[in-house]
Amino acid sequence: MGEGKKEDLEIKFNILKKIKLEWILLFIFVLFLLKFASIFNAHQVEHESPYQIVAGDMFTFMAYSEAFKEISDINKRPVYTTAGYENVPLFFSPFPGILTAQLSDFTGLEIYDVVMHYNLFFIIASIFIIYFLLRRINKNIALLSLPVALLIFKWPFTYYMNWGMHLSNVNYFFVVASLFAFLHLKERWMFLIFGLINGAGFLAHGREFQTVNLAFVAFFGFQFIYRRFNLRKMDWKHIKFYCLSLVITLITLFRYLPVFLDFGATAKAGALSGISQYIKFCPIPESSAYHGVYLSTYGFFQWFIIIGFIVLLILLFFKKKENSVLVLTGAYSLLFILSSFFCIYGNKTTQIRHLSPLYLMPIIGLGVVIILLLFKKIFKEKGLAVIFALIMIVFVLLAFKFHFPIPSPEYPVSNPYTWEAMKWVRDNAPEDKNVLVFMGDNHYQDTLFYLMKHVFYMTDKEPLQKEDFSKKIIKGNLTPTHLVDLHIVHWHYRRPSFFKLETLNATEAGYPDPKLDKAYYDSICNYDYLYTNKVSRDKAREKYAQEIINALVNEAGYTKAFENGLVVVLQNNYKGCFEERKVKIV
Amino acid sequence: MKKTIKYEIRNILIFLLIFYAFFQIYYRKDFVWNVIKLTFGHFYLYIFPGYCLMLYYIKRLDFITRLIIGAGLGYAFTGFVSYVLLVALHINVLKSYLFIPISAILIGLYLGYRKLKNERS
Repeated sequence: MGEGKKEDLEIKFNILKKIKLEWILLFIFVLFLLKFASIFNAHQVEHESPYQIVAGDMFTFMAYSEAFKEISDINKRPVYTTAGYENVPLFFSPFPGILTAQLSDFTGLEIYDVVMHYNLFFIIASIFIIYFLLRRINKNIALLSLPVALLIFKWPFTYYMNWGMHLSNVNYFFVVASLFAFLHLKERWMFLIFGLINGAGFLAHGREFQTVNLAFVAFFGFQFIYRRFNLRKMDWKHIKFYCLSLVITLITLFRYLPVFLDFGATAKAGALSGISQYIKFCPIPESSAYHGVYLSTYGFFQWFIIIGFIVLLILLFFKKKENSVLVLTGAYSLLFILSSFFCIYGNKTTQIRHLSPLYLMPIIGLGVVIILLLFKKIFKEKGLAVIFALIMIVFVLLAFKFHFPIPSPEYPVSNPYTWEAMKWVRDNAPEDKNVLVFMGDNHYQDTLFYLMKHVFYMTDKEPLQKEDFSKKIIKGNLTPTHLVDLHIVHWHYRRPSFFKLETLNATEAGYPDPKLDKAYYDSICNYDYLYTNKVSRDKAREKYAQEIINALVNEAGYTKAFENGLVVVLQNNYKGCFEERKVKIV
Repeated sequence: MKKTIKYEIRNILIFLLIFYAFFQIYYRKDFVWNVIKLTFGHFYLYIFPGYCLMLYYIKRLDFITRLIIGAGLGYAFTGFVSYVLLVALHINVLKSYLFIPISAILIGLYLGYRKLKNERS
């Protein structure tokens, strides 16, 4: 063999030597992460319509994000989010809306695509931040914590992705970033940075902000235990900087201070929603429902959660040598577990529980590594490294085998036809005109229509309305009088002065009686535009809708402003209405 | 100082490449231009400004720590300044967000340069 070739082989062998086992395992994890996450988005950023959105809250977040593209005065929400009422302050968590509006404008992508992208992006970023945090304790704990994170892509955890936890996803990123900043709080000016990140977390979503700050306080509590209840041994510099950072955080919350300080407004807001208790214990069967998260949801991981939980408690209370990263991650995991059993002002615990694969990550890694470290003398260091690597690969493969997610339907609520029609209204109907959304199989998530950016009313959403429709269809009663619903999103606040906040119900907010936040009978000819599906799975409803369309066009002088394969949008030219009469439908 | 700067540039470029590669693979059925825009959007608006602001700690904290805290800071800083401008001066968030990141980047680079210069002297 020539000298040159021998040198080549040596160089290649040296490069291989530099590739660490950790990087190979990380690479394997990333491949599986890409595979698990691929059930969303169909490998595309852009979609023809809001994609895989299942619940109305997601459309609400999108509507607020659109609102942030327009408003210059935060005390004036766009009237299409307030059913026409003006001068309503925007108190909804502003951060996700601002970040979404900015990235959407910068990239030219639709708001709904950016919302879904952010959901995924912040969750994936949080997984890797937790990994790097745990790496400070032990590399193997960090690696073994990763497989359980894959469960975040499976139902019921995907509640966060396409049901309604966009705010929590954004906030969770700030939570994990703040954990890093907290560890370095004694660095010069770091309290400013930490205070800002902490405040941004609140401005994204309050629930996780509350929990992580309780974890920071618990951290000092555990430190007190470690230092044998000796106050003089406490790290007062760290505590001082945390307190200073809270001042910065409070400054970022300046606009929300009246909400906290004006307990009357807070209590009234709760009462308007039928909530009387501020904090309530919410055991799993009782709290939100139809998509509960239980220990058994984790499958074989549940045993490692139990082991890890016990190991964590032992380490926190009985370990001789203090490890601040271990104490911090332990406190954070425990507080998030505890918080997931309490409802705060009626907020469902789903907001915390559905992110549980992330806050349980440290527990899994800790349990396995600490137990196996007991056998260090038998396996030796290199042997243990191989065992940890094998366990990690087995966990990933088991997660793939038993927890691989099923994709959600592509367009369960919105679809390209609906979106095309809504966009037409958004871009062509004058701003001050209202829309009556008449009939549609996919009209059960009314917040979808906020993306039309026009004040809208509905006739086919509530059970009472559907019952009314059915009666009319059975009797063959073709009438312009229908049960109309006016949807008001969230409470209305009025702010006479900075520290005085008033919460108004619909009557107080100025909605004329009987047009309150409930259904009422009205003529469909009283609205500027009529938006309706012309096709339905129920052929009787379809025929009825078509009779209404024909009557409006032929007798009431309406014009077809827009039409596609599913939707018709009619423009009211105010030439009267049609006569009520009997027609044969069924 | 040159070695530190070279090391930082190398690390941030590697991170940018990994970030882009991850999303290019994930969004592989979409146009490459959309993924490039998305990557550039995250970096210009939020991640890079935050990373630059953390250059103040270039001699105190390792790259990963600065990047993670910097990412949190970047999203918090641009978002919060936009929010304050909206509340206090009625400036819409889309009018303010282009100059906020560049300001943060310039401030951060200046702070980092000063730190390195002070260490050198």
